[in-house]
Amino acid sequence: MMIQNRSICLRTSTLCAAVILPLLLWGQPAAAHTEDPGFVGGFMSGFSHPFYGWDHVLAMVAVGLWGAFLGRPAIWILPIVFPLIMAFGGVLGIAGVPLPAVEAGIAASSVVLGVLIALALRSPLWIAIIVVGCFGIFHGHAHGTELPSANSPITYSIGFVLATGLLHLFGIAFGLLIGVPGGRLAVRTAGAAIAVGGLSFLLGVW
Amino acid sequence: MRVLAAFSIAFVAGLAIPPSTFTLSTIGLCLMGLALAASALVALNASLPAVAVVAFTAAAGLLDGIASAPDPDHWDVVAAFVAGNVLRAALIFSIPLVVADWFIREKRWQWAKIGIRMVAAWIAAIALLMQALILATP
Repeated sequence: MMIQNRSICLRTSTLCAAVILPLLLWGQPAAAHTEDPGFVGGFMSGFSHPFYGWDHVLAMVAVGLWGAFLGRPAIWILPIVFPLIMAFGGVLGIAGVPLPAVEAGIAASSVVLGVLIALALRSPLWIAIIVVGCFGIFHGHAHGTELPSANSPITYSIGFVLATGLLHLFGIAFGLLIGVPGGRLAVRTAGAAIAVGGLSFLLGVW
Repeated sequence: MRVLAAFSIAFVAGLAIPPSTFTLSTIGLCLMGLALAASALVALNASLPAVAVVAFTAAAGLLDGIASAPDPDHWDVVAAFVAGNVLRAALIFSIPLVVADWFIREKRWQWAKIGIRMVAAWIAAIALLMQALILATP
């Protein structure tokens, strides 16, 4: 009986979490709403920011994809390391520390990660962390420079970190295809496509 | 339960501290520092003794209480304000606790622990950015 009650209690708590947490998140944009559509706002602005730039999208997906390609523990260490180092880059951006060729660095991240996936290069974990971390600084710096002008910096940060994480998860989910027949080829092809996309950004074609 | 009790008691204690004692940016800086330390420890899979966890949550409760100090008003208004804030803090605090406990201990889902570490890394990133922003704001 006690176990049953506990189970009901846990289920109720989970239901509460499922209802309340989205409300907490979705309650913010109304407060951050501004009449000027060009003004950097709150959660939705931050959440949509990585999706607006294909250079960001490609790199974030590539991190997850490469993590899945390298297998455990990289599959979950890379998506943990990336936001932490990206935040460090964000701090540099907020502090106004100049970083040369930020946009080129972001585009280069897609090229390098895409090539690594396409060529099926398996690096040691520490090298993977350094590679992903270096590019994370460029991505973070780009976000950080926009952050001080945000209407609601905390909800903006939550939005873009969440979107970044979801893009990693998408990459991981796609990368898990390597376990099925033909999946390895699909993942390597996706890597090549990411590299081509990154190269077109780097050369200013896209 | 101990953690939740420590948080609630510290929260009420924090409400008793005069709001003018600390500036909001100081409280924000401390809160974000606490969030950064706690989430980074989770992300790095560091295990802490139970006493340290209780101390962490008590500190968070105290700071939250200081930041939520009510304006002087009639006692029943203040009492309702305090009760509402304790309920709010307990609810927000206990939801992740119960959900994490359910996934890891009850369901024993291996990926849940990894998922929690990833979310902790995201929270650490947000806390670090907020700290930088507070320090950068004149």
